[in-house]
Parts: sequence; structure tokens; C-alpha cells
Amino acid sequence: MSVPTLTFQSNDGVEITVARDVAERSVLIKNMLGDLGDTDEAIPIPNVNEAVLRKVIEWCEHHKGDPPNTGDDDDSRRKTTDIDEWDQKFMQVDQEMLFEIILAANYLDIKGLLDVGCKTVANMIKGKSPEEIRKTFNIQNDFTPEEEDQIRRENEWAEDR
Amino acid sequence: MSIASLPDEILDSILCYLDLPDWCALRLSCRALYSKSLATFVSRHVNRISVLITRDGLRELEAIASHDVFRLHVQELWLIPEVFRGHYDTDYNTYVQAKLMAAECLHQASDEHGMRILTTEQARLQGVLENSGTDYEAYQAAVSSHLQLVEAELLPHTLAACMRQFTNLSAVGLETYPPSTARIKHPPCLGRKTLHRQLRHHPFSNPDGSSRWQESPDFK
Repeated sequence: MSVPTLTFQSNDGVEITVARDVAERSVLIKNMLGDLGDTDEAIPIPNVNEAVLRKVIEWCEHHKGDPPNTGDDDDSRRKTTDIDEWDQKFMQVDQEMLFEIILAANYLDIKGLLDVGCKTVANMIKGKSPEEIRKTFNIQNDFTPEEEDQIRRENEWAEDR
Repeated sequence: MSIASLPDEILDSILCYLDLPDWCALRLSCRALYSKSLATFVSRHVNRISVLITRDGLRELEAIASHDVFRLHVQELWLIPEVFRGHYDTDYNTYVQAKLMAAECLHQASDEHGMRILTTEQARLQGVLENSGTDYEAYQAAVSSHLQLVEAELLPHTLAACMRQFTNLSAVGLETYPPSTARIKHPPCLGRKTLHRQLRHHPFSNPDGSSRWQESPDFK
């Protein structure tokens, strides 16, 4: 008895075979299969290269037994950024890869992975000064001193006092 | 690929995990992140405004009202016409008394949390009384400026002009000082910071302190 599989083709032309239940962590793929029925042909994933696609599949394999997502949780305004240990290790990649994973998760509609990616980036921002944020993400301060003053003033409009 | 080039919807999902201080820092990092996060920041953090009827409070309110993005997101406007909790013509001795009561109240509050201040009672009271003369003058000046403003004909016009700019305003109300709501622990309050800087001590700012003070035999 063999496990039903699917084949993906990354945007750099590499074919990767995946168990169907793993592939269906992606809502995009799941809906596509629902529309098209089974297919033996390689499914092109135009926005994702091989390295990123393999990472995404690795995540889906680890999480294939997770319960399906229960809709939107937009009403919980202050969300926790806790990430489980396996996911934390999984996300220990360079920034380029991290952002690529997030984009792929968004495109393939894998909410769990997208959440973990966003939390990882949020944790890189938390508790830092503007200068530390610039260092972390390698960005240049392109404000004039007057603009900085204006933004500080705007911040005060929102700040607890 | 950099954080600033992520699509807006993804950036928004990242931002929803941030607390206000992180937001404020991120907005100061670079132009791209500032402008990409502006609308979300404003709709999340500046949709409800409390404003002290002081010159500085109104100045900030006018600044928000003339800001192209901020003005569109203000939905609730709470005016605080009563900045001194009614203590407009307190004489010097009563002022010092209130100051001591406020300090006493703070002292007890910190005791409750087990953080006893390690100074002798006398030294502590001395510290409270220091500069009482200048503090009292600052209080008088702030009161007179506040009353001038409240009685001026200009005030309704200024407020009306601001409200016209807040095109999505859905509620306007009056609040007591200091502002507090069940929904938000410390609502931002325009003009409050400047007032505190001006006064150094605001013996009438703490609702508990004030009621304790009113229990004292000197309150009449």
C-alpha cells in the first residue's frame, strides 16, 4: 500500500515529491486538488525556489498532524509571540530565507507557517531601539532630524502617559 | 529581500504582534517602514483621543486635526475640561497640605507592594516640601492659564474646527481627570505630559489622593 503523493515543481525547475496529506497543509493546493481532482503531473509553484520549497515541505511534514486552523483570531488584539521549540529551531535561517519562507507561506496559504514566520520577525523587533532595529535588518536611517522630531511627536499622541 | 519590501498585508500581520513601544521604535527606523505602517498604527493607536483643555492639549489636538492621516482615524474624542479636579483657588497652606497628602498616599501605595522607601520619614517629608513656593506659583499659573482658556470665546470655535477635520468621528464625550476607561488602561491624553512637566507636582492628579485629602480636617 503506497501513500498517495504529489509532485511540485519549484520555479528553478526542480521536482519534489510530497505525500498528499503533507501537501494539503497548503490551502491553495488543497483547493486546487478539490477543483481539478487527482493529477500525476508536476504542479508548478511559480513563486518559490527549491531551497525555500524544501523548507516549507519540511515544516508541513512536521506539522501534518496539527488540528486544522480554527478560523480568524483577529479579535485577540495583543497576541502572544511564543513559538514552540521545534519551530524556533526551524526558523533559525538567514533573513533572506526567513522572508522567502514567509512569502511562500503567504502564497501557498499555510496559515500556521505564516504565523510562525511573522512571530519570528516580530520577536526580532521587540524591545529594540530604532537604531538596534536598523542594525538587525540592515536598514539606513533616511530621516532628517526634523522628520524624526515630527514622528516622536506623533508617537506621543499614542503613548500611555 | 528586506523587511521594508515585504507586502503590506504581511507587514501588518507582523505588526499586530508588537506592543506600543515597539511600534514607536519601528516607526523611527526608516521612511519605508514608517509610511508602510502609518495607517495601521493610526487606526490601532489613535482612534480614541483624550484631550486636556489646556493650551498644550489643544495645540496637540489641532496638530492631529491637520494631519492628513491621523485626522481620518479619530473616532472618539474625549474632552477633559476639569484639569484640577475643582481646586482652582487653593491657598498656599492648603496646597502644601494636599501635596503632603498626595505624597503620603504614594508612600502607602509603595508599602503595599513591599517596596518601602528607605528614607526616614522626616527626610522624605522634607523632600516633598522642598520648592513648595515655586511649585505653588506654577500651579497658580497653570490654573489661571486653564481658566482663561475655558472662559475664552475662542474655545468652542477651536474645538468645532478640529471636529470638522475628524471626518470619521463617531463619539464625543466629557471625561474627568485623570482619564481612565475600562477598555483601555492608560488612554493617551493630549497635554498631560506638558502639564506634569509644568507643575512638577500635581497634588490633585490622583483620584485616591484627592479623596483622602478631602477627608482631612483641613478640607473645607
